[in-house]
Order: sequence, then C-alpha cells, then structure tokens
Amino acid sequence: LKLSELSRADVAGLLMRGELRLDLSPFVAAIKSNIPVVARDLVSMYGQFNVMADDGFADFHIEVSFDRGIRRFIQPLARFHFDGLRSFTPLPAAQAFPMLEWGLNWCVAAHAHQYLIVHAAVIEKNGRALILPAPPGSGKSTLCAGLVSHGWRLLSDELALCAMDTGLLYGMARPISLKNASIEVMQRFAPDAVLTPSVPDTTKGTVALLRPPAQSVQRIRDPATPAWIVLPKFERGAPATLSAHSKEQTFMLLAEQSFNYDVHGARGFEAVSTLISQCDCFTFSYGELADAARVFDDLAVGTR
Amino acid sequence: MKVRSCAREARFRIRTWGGEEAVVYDAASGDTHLLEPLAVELLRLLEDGERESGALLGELETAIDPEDAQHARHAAQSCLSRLQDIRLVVGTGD
Repeated sequence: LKLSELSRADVAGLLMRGELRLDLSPFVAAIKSNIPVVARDLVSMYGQFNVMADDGFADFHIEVSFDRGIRRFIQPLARFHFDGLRSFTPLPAAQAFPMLEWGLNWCVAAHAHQYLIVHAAVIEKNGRALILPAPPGSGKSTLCAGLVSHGWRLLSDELALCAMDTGLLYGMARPISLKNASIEVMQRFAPDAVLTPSVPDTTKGTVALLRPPAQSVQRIRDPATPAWIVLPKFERGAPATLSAHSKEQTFMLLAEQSFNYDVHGARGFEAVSTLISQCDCFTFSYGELADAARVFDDLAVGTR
Repeated sequence: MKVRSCAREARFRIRTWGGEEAVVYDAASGDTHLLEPLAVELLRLLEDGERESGALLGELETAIDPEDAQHARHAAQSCLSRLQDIRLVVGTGD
C-alpha cells in the first residue's frame, strides 16, 4: 500500500495515533504528529512510499507535535521527539515538516553505524553511483535535484549510506531539501517538479522540499556501486568545468563530511580507502544546471 | 640527532593512490592525516633506516628548491616537525 492510496484524513488519523510506519528502506520510521502541515506535506512528498503494518518493527519512532501549553494558541511551536524523548529546540509550527526531515536525518546519522555515513548526495545511472559530498552552500542539493530531474536516479540528497561489509551505496530516496535561491532555480529548470510550500525564516533560510521521482522510490531497495566522487561548487556565470582531483585530498574531505568515520576507527579508514579506490575523483564548478547535466551525461557514458 | 620513520609500525596504516600525497591512520590516536608531497618524500628518505636529521634535512632542502635555501630549510624543518608531532618520525636518542 502506497501512502498516496490513503486519503489525507486517513494519513492524519494514523499520524495522530502514531501508527504511520513508512518504508524508508533500509529503515522503517514510525511517525506521529498532530500538526496538519505534516500530514499535508507527507502525502505530497512521500506519496510513492510504502506504508508498513502499523504494529510492525520500526527503526526510529519519531514525533513532531505541537509543544504543549497556552503558547500553542498564540505562537505555536513544533517539538521533535525521538523514542518518546524531547529532542532539540522547538521551532515555529510552520517549520514542522522541515523539522521532521532534519530529525530523520539525525536519527540515521546518529544511529545507523552499520553504514559509513557521509554528508553527501548520491545519484545513479546505469548502476554506477555519483557521490556529491560538500559543505553547505556548495550547490550540492541544487545539482542533485537538477540531475535527478534529468534522468539520474536519486538515492539521497543528504546522507550517503555506504555498507561496511559490501561497500555498496544505499539511500532512502527521500525528498530533496532546497534552500533560498535554489528553489526558484529548480522551478525554472524543472517546471513539473513538485515542491512543498516554501518555509521562510528557518535557520537555513527559506526551505522547500522537492518530491523524489516515482522511479527512484520504486528502486529504493537497489544499492549502487560507487563510481565517481565529485566536489561541486556553484559559481554564478561559471562554465561547467570538471577537473581531476587528488584522491588523497578527496579522502580527507569524505572523512570530514562523515558523521561516523571516527566511530568506526580503522574500519572507517579502510571503508573510505575502498570507496576512494573504486571511484574517479573530480572537482566541478558550474553556473548553469543545463551545462552541468550535459557534463554528467557524458561522464555516465564514459566520454569524459 | 638521528631520526627514524615509524611508518611501518602496526599502529599506522598508510594509503596512496599513485599521487604524490598519502593519507595515514594512527590507531593509537584515532587521527587521520594528509601527508603532503614533501612529507611523503621525507618518509621515503627514511625507508632504509635511521639518519642524521641534519643530513636528512639537507637532502630534502635540495629536493625542494635549491635556488632558495632559506625557504627550503624552513619548509624541510616544518615538515620534519609535523611528522614528529604525529609520531610518524621519532628521534632515536643517538
């Protein structure tokens, strides 16, 4: 059963009771919420995801609900709970859905140590994965969204999950988080893309989530083999330029951008080493998504 | 003073991918370091065993920039100090 096959009222009811279990393979999240925008945006963004039995196992039990107290009627706040415990500072209720997304990211990054977890987007074509690790502001999510709307399969916009035993990459094909100017850039580049309403004044500026393509969600269980690591940099007006990059320096960036490299110790070092050995490493600067799409299409067919 | 490389000790894992740089993991501290080309060259000069640090630095300075002795000396000494800081190179006490 897909989430889109339920009415919004049914979804709201499941959320109120904490009985909505979403298949975010390789994880299952049990979600509870009494905030209407959460039901609205979940249906919009996760419509193609499978709903699991409401009494089945869940890796993460999370709740985003109105903070209690009289303030709720004046300036309502949303509070994130993990396993029934309050976590993080409450945020304005209008930010409840982005808060759910950020909270889910934290759940995975802080607990799923069967993977080496890197702050990176991962997309795939012809079975080969392109990893885009980058600090905020580099244009990673914009590039990821642009390439996904151009035929690449989305694994993840935010968390690259590298299995410690096989080296294969997993994602969750969750919505892509766009910020500030990149929202309008994507609306122009892919006019059919479905986004949540923009949420202003968050700690990251204005944010909107972009619905993952149905084909990506259908292949949520298929891992991909690492092939390229590209460090993107958006520069207004810059031509699309792909340049070979030192594997050793790329190693250090991956380790820095990993949430749990230190947790794994020597195994983490070996995991990153294996990843680097499997991949060609590049820097990439770009000013236009259309140019970037051409460069990466060439990369995928081996003409670069 | 003589110095020697600890790069072959079990606590260190070193990887390079054919470039001039390398990465090293230190199991004792849990730290990972990037070794720049000069550091890789210095470790290479110590592959055959301990050496007088003065002679080692002299050879390294020649490899850096024979035209600018002051710059080369500073770079070589900084490199040796850094490798000693992360215990990849140690004094032998001789």
